[in-house]
Amino acid sequence: MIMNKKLLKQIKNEWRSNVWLFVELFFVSVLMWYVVDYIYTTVLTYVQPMGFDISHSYDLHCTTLDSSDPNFDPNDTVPYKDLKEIADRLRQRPDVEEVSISSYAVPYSGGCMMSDFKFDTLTSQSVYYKYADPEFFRIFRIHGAHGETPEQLSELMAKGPDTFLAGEDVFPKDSKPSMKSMIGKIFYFNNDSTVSHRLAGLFKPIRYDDFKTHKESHSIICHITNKDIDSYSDIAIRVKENQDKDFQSTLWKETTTRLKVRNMYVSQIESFSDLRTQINQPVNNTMRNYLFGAGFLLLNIFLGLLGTFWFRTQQRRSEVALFKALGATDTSIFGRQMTEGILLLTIATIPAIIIDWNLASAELNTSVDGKTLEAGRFIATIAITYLLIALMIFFGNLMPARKAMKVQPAEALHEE
Amino acid sequence: MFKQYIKNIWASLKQDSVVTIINILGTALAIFLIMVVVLMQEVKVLPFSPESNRDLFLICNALTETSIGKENTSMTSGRMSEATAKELFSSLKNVKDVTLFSGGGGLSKLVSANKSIPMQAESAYTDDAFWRVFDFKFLSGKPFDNATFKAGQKVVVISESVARHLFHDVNVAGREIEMDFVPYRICGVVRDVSLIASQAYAQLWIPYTTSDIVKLTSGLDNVKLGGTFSAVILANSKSDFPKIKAQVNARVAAINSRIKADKVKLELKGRPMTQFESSITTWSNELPEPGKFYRKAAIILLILLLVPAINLSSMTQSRLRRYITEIGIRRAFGCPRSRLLSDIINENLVLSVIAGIVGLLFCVIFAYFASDMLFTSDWSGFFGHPTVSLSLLLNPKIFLFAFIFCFILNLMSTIIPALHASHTNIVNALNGRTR
Repeated sequence: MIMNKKLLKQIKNEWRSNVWLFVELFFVSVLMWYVVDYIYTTVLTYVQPMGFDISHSYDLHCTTLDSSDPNFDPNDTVPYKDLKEIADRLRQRPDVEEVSISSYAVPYSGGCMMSDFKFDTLTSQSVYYKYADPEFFRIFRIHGAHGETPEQLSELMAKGPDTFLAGEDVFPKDSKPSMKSMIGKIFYFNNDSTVSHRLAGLFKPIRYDDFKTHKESHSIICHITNKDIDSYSDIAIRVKENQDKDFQSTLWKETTTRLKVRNMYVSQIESFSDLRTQINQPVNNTMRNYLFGAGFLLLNIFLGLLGTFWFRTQQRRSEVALFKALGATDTSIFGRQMTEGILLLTIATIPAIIIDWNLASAELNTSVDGKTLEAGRFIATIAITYLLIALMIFFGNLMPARKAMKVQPAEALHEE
Repeated sequence: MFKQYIKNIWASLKQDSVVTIINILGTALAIFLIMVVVLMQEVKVLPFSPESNRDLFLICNALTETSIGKENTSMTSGRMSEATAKELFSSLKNVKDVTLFSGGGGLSKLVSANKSIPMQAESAYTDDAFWRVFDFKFLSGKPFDNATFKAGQKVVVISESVARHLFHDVNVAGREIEMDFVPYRICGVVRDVSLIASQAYAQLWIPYTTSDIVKLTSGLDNVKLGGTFSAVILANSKSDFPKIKAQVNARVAAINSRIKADKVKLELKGRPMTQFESSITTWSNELPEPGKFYRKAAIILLILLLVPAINLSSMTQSRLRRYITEIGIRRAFGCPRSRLLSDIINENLVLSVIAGIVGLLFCVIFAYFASDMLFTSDWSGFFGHPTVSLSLLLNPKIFLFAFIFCFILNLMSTIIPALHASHTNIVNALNGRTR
């Protein structure tokens, strides 16, 4: 503590040369916090469980021939029959484990259908309406809220053409009536009282994509009917394990033969992981920019500290020599120089925190579920920022501090 | 004088190599990142094949229809129908050429050739002027001409990578492929187009007369002006832009007086726009806002300049402190302050330029090899790559930008320490004190 007091005095005495460092540390601390806040919140969302599994899965899209096409069959007017036949033909392949037809349902497709979801007096806004067949749960390995396996959910869905399953978090946990008690009840969608739907079960929440939170991803999955199927519907395929190799190219080979049914043909085959990469591109681009920015700021701190302290050790040669002559150890010299840098950072961080706080209060930083300022997050991002800069100070100071350690007291004092 | 600066730098490099190197690294790092930021924008504007005439382009990729005089205003925007595009852009004066085409937006085709694995490829429907407005590099065959276009012959120009996938060869002009089960004759093979050439980009180019898309219209009520078409005007010179825009505006006015009865208004929202305006406009109902773009760019560049400038200032100040006695002697012998100031700044500029060259070199190498990472746009789809050629990266404009930023950074990082040093009291300076 006494040493720190002395150091503070020293920092004050050398304020003229420290002011540059102080300004830089303050400025970088604010900028870094902004970047760290974005990365922290994005990564925290990213690592949340998705609720589904896309391994070994592929997404197929079909197209119908143009009416001007010479091969166009004018008698083929029911696209869902063609699509179902293509799905059936895929199902016969030995390397295919499961095939599912769905609309607005598969992950990472970019398409969606959103609406209110109501029961009694309860309303949940912006719920994703997904239409899928029972196989959907098996392909994406979606689990039930009460421990049901994907197979059991699939059976629940297969009970009737009017069944649907809902994410267990569509209504808040403490809502009355509870979601569990709604199972088996009749629902009407979009105020349409002509078509009733029966809630057959609840599934564990599935997220819309990698960067949407659970709150932004409330969804229900309805049993798909023929009228919900059109040429924009997805055919999702899960292949058996170890059968991924060349699966896409063998499937492409069949697009002009087996996978063409009357006017309909397969026009797109993508693995879900490729779809995911594509849909994540905007966030990845932003992340790239911020990471570059963060790297740049940190490297600047590193270089700045290295340069400034290199000079300082040269200037303080005699001072260090005197310390040593009076019995200071190498470690204490090293520690003293390190503490000086960290102390300077701490002083600069205090006003930076005030600015950060104001930025967050003004909602100028990243918003997660509509929030920009939360105690835990604020403390964590400030701490990460502080630690990252401190680390750079440590590395930047390493060489100068070692140089100071190696000062030979006799020589240095003699030169004076 | 320049020789003296070099000598001084060499001396400081020998005397205090660590700090001089740190100084160079700090500047190089700043110029590297600044130039990466500059490049990310410049690749959208600088000319390269097949968009070598970007400077002379006027692009119209959208129209907006708004209902007027109704209780609920409705608005729709998107590309143009062929008829609207023709009405707006055909036979304009002061233009070299105009092409109408329908591309991008996921127009993909299932393509196959005899015994090959079928593939999905992105296609564009174009007219024959397309091949004059854009300068594609043909590896085999040639573009389709006006007669072929008018006759609606089923021909196609394919990209190198499609040719290689289907035939394992590029000399395939004259051979046949099937697109969505319809046979087409290949009339030419062109070098792959970078995704950055956003107007010209596709993998297959087909005469639009072979398709029904000409009939596709969309829009409000009975006024169906929208469709799938874009237009690129190739002007004779930049100075003709206002004349061309005036003609287009007159035509918009003519359409508006015709559709007035339907209570719909047509707007082009600043279109046709220059390549630069197009590069900063994302949405079809968005006006190009250069002011907003420049403000955002200025903030980013300011941050990228300010942090290293503070950093380098600190080091320059320490360095100058060493030469304070030398400064004192020069002052004692009558050297004016302005001379000292300019000497310090110039000497530093030489150092900055050396560092700038290092930074720019790294930036160019990085951009060339990591183009996917740097230039992939947010919505780029599955096909193609945003490749950049070295000739594009080594554009003189890029060098000029790098030098300007070196100069600014140098000025920002030396002006305060230099002022400080040159204003030191002579006696103190001779004594080695800085106050």
